[in-house]
Amino acid sequence: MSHDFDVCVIGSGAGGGPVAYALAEAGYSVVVLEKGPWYTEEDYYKDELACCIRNAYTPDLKEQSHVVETELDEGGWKRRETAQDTSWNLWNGNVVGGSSNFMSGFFHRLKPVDFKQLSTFGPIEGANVVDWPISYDDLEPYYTKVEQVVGISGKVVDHPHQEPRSTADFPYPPTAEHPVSGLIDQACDKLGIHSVPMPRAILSKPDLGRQSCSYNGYCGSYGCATGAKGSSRAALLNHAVAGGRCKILPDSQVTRLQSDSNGRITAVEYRDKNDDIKHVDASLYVVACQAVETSRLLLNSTGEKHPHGLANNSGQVGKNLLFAGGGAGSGRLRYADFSTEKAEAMRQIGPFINRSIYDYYVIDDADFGAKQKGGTIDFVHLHPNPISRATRQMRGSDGLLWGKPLKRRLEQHFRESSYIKIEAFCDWLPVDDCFVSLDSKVRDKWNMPVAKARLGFHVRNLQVGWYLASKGAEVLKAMGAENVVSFASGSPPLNLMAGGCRFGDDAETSVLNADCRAHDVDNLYITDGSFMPGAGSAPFTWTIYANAFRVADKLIERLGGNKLQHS
Amino acid sequence: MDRRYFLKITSAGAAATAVTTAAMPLFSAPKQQTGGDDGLSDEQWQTLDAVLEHLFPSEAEAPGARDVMALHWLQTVLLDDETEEVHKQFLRAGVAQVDETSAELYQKAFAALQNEQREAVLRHMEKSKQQGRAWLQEMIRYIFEALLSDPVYGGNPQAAGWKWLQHIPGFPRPPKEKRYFLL
Repeated sequence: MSHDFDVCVIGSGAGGGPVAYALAEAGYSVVVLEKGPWYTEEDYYKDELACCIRNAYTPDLKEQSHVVETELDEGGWKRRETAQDTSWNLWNGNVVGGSSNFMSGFFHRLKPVDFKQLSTFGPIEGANVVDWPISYDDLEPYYTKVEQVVGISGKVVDHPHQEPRSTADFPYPPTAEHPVSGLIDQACDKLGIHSVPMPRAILSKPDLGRQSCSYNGYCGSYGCATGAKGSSRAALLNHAVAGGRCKILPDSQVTRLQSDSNGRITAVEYRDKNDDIKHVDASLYVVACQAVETSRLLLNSTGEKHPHGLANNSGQVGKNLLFAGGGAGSGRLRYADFSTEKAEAMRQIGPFINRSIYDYYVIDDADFGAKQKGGTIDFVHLHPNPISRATRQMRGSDGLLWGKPLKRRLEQHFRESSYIKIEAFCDWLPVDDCFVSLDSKVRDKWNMPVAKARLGFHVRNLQVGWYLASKGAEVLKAMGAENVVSFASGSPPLNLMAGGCRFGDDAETSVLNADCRAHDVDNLYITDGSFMPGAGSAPFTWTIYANAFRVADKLIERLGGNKLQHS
Repeated sequence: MDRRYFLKITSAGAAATAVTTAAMPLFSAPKQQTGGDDGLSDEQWQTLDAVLEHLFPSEAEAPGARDVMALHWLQTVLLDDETEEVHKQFLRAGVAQVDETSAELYQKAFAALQNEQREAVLRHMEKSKQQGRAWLQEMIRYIFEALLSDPVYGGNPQAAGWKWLQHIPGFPRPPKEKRYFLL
């Protein structure tokens, strides 16, 4: 049977990019549908209004929104429509390359223990903890592939929680470091814990047809203007397109996956830039729209064999939605406490801190309870966005601050200190009250039901988040930081989502099999973070990239192997 | 459109302080040229001007709301098709509330009040009026946009806000043709 393409990929972010890259490289034709526009390095500037205030890279919430439900203290759920309650916006970057354009590129592998949490630590009441159907060893070659293809910079050092590696070190040396990194190292030495260089998906030297980092200080939330950041677009799709076998269709919103009486997908229905309805078909289909939208697309794609939504015959689609759990904190380093020369160096904008602590990846602390999964602590600069920073200064102890007192506070905040932040990542435990469904009232501009996300969380997230954040705070204090605070929250970081279509060996309790193929749809694969049955204790992007490369190999095998090697 | 008052105060502001010697910036010019009604009277623009100046006064060494074209910034927001109607109503209702509160407490327009009286009116709004605090917060936030966004958008003239706070902007900075609403 002839198809328009061998493979159709829906979504061009970290889940879609590796599939497009690998399949095109193996000689197969690929089409990538992306709902957003195709911006390049020529379109990305350090413009706070664009990235972070007027939200130029996400859809207009009047036309396309979500509904979220958050738990009320007194019980029950508060419904929020993001078109009105815009701070709950679930869009994270709808452009070619997806939200990977706007990541900070703090890259962490999962560790072997993440793949077998149930068998290692036992069940947790109220959480749907499972072992993964694959092990760390299955994913390791692909973590390594990401280092080489996407370009990860870093340095391997010996520490108790170092995961096994098939190569000795990273292919690129660490990006330039800020003087704060040395202060963290000294403080950690004093405390007897291990300060570890944090890998970054940022090129520290020109390679792979891309430029090196320009160290301008504005990285996360911003599109990269040099191509150094390893976004799906810069690192993968540009190469796939240049090879001639990958076609990207931007401004193409997929509305439905059509399926036949065997339950197989027959075509993708989408709206082009002019809102005209179009169709495309392929041998195999890959969905990677980021967790919430992936589940929504399946739920909206009912068919004869899929009355409750595609791949949803066990009612699992949308369930066990995950975020990055954790805590946070910050401290202030006053320039006046340093020599003039040192203070000048501290004022630098551009070089990175790049430090993580993994000593609490498993918490073995009698005061905290039985041995259990902990997480990662990252140290980062306060984001330099000036409007956002100024806005946080207007709260006084007795109402709003304005007039000259506000101006003096701004001067103090901006001129006198450097601020270091702690970002602590723990598992967001999978729970029954965190899931995606279709909203019964709100529809998008194409009259499709929008996704509703219930954002319940397990109290363990908070306990571990507090624990990790307070450990990070001890480091800040040992560095001589002032105003050190640390905390955890049950509110999810909306930019770090996974789960909803978890993989597993049992079709009754999972959506995908170990190859990330839908149990009940023979030609459907899902390669964004949706597959993850557990969140691990680090940002997801490296794991999404690695798994998507792993699944890409399954697709190539299924289509008959690498066509170019055989020819 | 109430450009007369608006142009008058902008040029007065420019003459009064050293930081704003630039010509009138073309913030969101493509949209502004489409015209439209910002929905505020001359008197209300005077009220808003006085509120912004009170919230963020000009000083010799530190720019205030007038120096960074904050009023112009708000007019652009009110004329912008992309601004939600409900938000425009909220912004206008706050201006009306300032004069109502002013009349209630002092039987005068806000712009005619002394500094302490202005403070009392705005504090009263903050503590006692529905949406009063939210509106004041939004005014301060818009002042910060005018103070700290890239000068290509028409606020922060000659990077006065960045210079004042010793803030180092990122690069590359957006050229005129790549402002967010033109992408």
